[in-house]
Amino acid sequence: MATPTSVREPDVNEAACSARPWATIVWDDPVNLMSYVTYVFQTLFGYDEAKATALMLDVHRKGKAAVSSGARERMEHDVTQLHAYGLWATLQRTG
Amino acid sequence: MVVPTVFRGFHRRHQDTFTTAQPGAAAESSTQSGVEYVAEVASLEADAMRQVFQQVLELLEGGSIRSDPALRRLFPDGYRDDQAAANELRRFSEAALRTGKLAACRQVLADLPTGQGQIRLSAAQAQTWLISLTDARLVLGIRLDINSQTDVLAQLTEDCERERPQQARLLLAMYQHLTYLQESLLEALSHREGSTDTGDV
Repeated sequence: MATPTSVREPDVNEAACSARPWATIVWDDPVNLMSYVTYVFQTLFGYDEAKATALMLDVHRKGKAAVSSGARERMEHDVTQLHAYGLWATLQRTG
Repeated sequence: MVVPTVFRGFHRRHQDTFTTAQPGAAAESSTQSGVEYVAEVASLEADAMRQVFQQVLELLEGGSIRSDPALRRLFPDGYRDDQAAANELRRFSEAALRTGKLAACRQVLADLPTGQGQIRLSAAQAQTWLISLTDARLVLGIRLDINSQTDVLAQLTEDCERERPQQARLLLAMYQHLTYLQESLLEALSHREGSTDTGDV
C-alpha cells in the first residue's frame, strides 16, 4: 500500500473551534468509486479504514463531508492533494 | 451482447510465483514488497485504452480550463463562493497538479502493452494507475454526461438495442471497462499481506 503523505488526526467535530478555523469539504460526484474515495482518505490523511469508510459514506449519503480542518494554508494543501487524486474538494470557514 | 466478457481485471501476485528461473534477473528486479498487480489485456483492449489515455494526455497538455468542462472537473475551484480566492489558489497549484496528472498519464501509456499482453505494476505504479484511471473516468464521465442517475450497464444494453452510433457506445464501454479495472485494482490492493491493524487505543 502507498505510504500516507501526511498523518494527522483532525477532529471534524471540533472544526468550529477557533484553532481549526477552516475545513476541507469533499463533495459527492457521480464518477468516483466508493472504494476509491475510502482509499484516498486512508492514503492522504492516514485515517483507519473505519473512519475513512464513515467519511466516504457521509459524502455518498449527505452529498459532502468535512474531512479535515485547521489553518487555511493547511486546508489549501489538503484540497490540492484531493484534486490530485481526482476528488471534488473545496475549503471553507468553519464559523 | 455488448458488455465485454474478456476483461478479468487486476489481481495480486507474488513475484516469486512467476519469475522465470533466471537467478540474476530475480535479484535485479526484486521490489520492496515482492508483489505485483497484474492484468491480462487483449490486443483490442490495449489499443482502446491507449486511445483513451492518449486523449487525456492531449487534453492535459493543451486544453483550456476556461473552455473545457472536463478540465474544469480535473482542476476544480478550491473555493465555492469566493472566485478571487479560487483563482489565487489555482495560480499556485494548477501547474503542479497538471504536471502530476501528465506524469501519471504518461506512465499508464508506458505500462500498457503493445497488443495482447500483461499490465504489471508495483505498488507504487498501482497508485499512479488509480489516479490516472480516475482522471480518464472523470473525462469520459463529462463527455458522456454521466450523472448520479446513470445506470451504465443498462445504458450499454439500450445503446446496443437502439443501434446508437458506434463511437458513443465505445466511449461508454471504455468508461465501464476502466471502472471495472479500477475496482479490481483497488480490490487487489486491499488484500495486504498480514494486514494487522496497528490500532493503539
